Amino acid sequence: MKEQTKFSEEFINAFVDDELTPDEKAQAYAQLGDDVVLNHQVCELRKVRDLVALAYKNVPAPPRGITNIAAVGRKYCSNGLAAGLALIVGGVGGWFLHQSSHTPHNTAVAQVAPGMEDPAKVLFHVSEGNQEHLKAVLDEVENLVKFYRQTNQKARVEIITNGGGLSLVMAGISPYAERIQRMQKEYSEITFIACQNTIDRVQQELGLTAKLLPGVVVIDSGVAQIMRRQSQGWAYLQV
Amino acid sequence: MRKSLTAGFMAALFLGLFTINTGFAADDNKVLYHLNLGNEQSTDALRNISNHLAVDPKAKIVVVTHSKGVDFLLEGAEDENKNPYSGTVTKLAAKGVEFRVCQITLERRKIDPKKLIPEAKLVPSGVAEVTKLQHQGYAYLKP
Repeated sequence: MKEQTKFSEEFINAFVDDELTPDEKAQAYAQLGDDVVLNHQVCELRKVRDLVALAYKNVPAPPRGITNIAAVGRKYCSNGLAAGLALIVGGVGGWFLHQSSHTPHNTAVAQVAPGMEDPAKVLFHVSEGNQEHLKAVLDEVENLVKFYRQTNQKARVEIITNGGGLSLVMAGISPYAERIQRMQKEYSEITFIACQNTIDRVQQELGLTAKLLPGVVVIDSGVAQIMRRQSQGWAYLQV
Repeated sequence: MRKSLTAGFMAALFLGLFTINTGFAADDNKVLYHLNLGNEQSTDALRNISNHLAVDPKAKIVVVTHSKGVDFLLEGAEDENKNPYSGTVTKLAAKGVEFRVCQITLERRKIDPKKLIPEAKLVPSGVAEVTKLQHQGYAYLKP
C-alpha cells in the first residue's frame, strides 16, 4: 500500500486554491494520479470552493446610508420634501444596486484583456476518442498556451474528458501518455480532468478499472464541471 | 408621511432596478460560430448562418476559423457541388457577418495570407479569439 497521509490538510487546501509553488504543485500532481483518497479529497474541496464562489458571485452590496438620511429627513423636512428626498436616495440606492449587479459581468470582460491580472480561463471538452482528434486537441491546447505566454497573458486551461474522450487520460490506453506528461511538466497552467461518472460506467459496462495517467484530476461529472466553469466565466470550446 | 416616504423610495428603487434588465439585452444576440473541421462543416455553418439571420436579422455573428476551418475562405474554394464559397461569404458579409482566420494556422500550414478572400480578417490565434468573444458575451455554436 502507498502512504496516503503525506500531505497535511493545509497543503491540500493550498493546492486546491492554487497557492502552491510549482514544485509543490508537481509533487501533489504526482501523487494525485495513484492516490484515490487524495483524489477524492481534492475533488470534494474543489466542489466546495466552486459552490462558495457561485453563492457569493451575485450578492449585491447593500445600499449604504439610506436609513440614516431618511431619519434626518423625518426630523427636519415637511412631508413633500421628505418624499422628494426619499425619491433621490432611492434612485441613488437603485443606481448602486444596478452598478453592483453589473460588476460580475464587467469582471468577466476584463479577464481576457491583455495585461490584466486575472487569467484567461479556457475549457476544452473532449468527448470522443479517435486518435487523430485527440492529437488535434493536444495541438490546439499547446498552441493556445504558447500564444498566451508569448503575449504575456496569464492563463488557466482545463481539458475535461468524458465518454470516449476518457481514453486520452487512461494509463495503458492513451496514445499520448508521454506527451501529456511532458505538457504537465512544461505548462503548469494546464490541468487534465477525468469524469468519475464515465469511470464508473467503464467499470460497470466493461468490467474495466480505469487507471489514470499521473496528475489527472478526477471530478464528479464532466458535464457538471463544464456548467460550473461556464458560470464562473470560463470560455468553452470543442476541437 | 412614512407612507409617502416608503412609496417614493420603492418607486425610485424599482426604476433603478428596471434598468438592470435592459442593460443585459445587448448581449442576447451575439453569436460566434467555431469552425475547425473542414469544408463539410463550413458548408453546414454557412447554411445555419443564413437561416439564423432570416429568423434574427439583428444577430451579430462572428465566424472564427482555424485548422481545416480556414479552407473555405481561400481564393477559389468550392463546396462538394463545385459551387464557389465566395458568393455566399460576400452575401453574408454584406449583412454584417465577420469572418476571422487564425494566423497560427496559416503559418503552420504555410498558407500565404494573400490567398484569403477579401472578407477574411486575420487574428493572432483562432482559439484565443473564441475565448475572447465568449468573455464579450458571445454565445458559442459549433455546427
